[in-house]
Amino acid sequence: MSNAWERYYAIRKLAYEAAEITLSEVYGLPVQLTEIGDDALEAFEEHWLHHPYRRYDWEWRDVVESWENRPSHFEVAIWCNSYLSGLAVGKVSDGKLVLSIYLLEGSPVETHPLKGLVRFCVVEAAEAYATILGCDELHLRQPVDGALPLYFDMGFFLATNQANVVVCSKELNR
Amino acid sequence: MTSEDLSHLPSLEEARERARRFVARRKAEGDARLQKYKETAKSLNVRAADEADGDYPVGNRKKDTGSKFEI
Repeated sequence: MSNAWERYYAIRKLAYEAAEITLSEVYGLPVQLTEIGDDALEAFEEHWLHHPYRRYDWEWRDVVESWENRPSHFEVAIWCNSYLSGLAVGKVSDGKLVLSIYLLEGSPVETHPLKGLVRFCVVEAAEAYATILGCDELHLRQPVDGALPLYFDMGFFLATNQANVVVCSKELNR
Repeated sequence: MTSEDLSHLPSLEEARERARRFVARRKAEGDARLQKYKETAKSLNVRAADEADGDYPVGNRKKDTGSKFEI
């Protein structure tokens, strides 16, 4: 593993630890944040993959494989009481100024412990990673229209990025 | 991966310090943020929350039709 991979991996771990603290102490959410490793992929395949309420067809094993080619990529698995509640991936812009979340999926299991709260966990982990890297902005790429009011409540506003793609954008305090 | 990419990276020590400051800032903002969260939770629109979480009732699924990058 190259120096770059090791350093970004260490920074992601720091971001997970920081976000776990803030989510538990500030928000009162008992979550565990990890890379999307074998545990998460096995839980995904066992509980999500063929669930009838699943909204998307993303095959997370393939997603992770393709995203891992970029050392700086963002990924997170959200756990609560050993239940996999959310998965997300994103990437940092070449200039390291923007972290964009590309894919976010909450558990389709209606009774999962973080129902309605996955976005808080993903955004907190992403903000921690972006802040540590020194990014200025966090983007949620191509948000669903119906979710916009909730993202606005979280401090995001609607914008277009440099590629003219619609994003929800949030400036980060460093 | 180029050396230029690595030049943007903080040292591990600096990264730890930034993580520490992130947590400290959140704790300082805690009451306001928590209040905002509680207000959001109170007025929780289930459909909107499902969409925001990348989750959605079966009748409205967009399988095979949505953008791969849609959140």
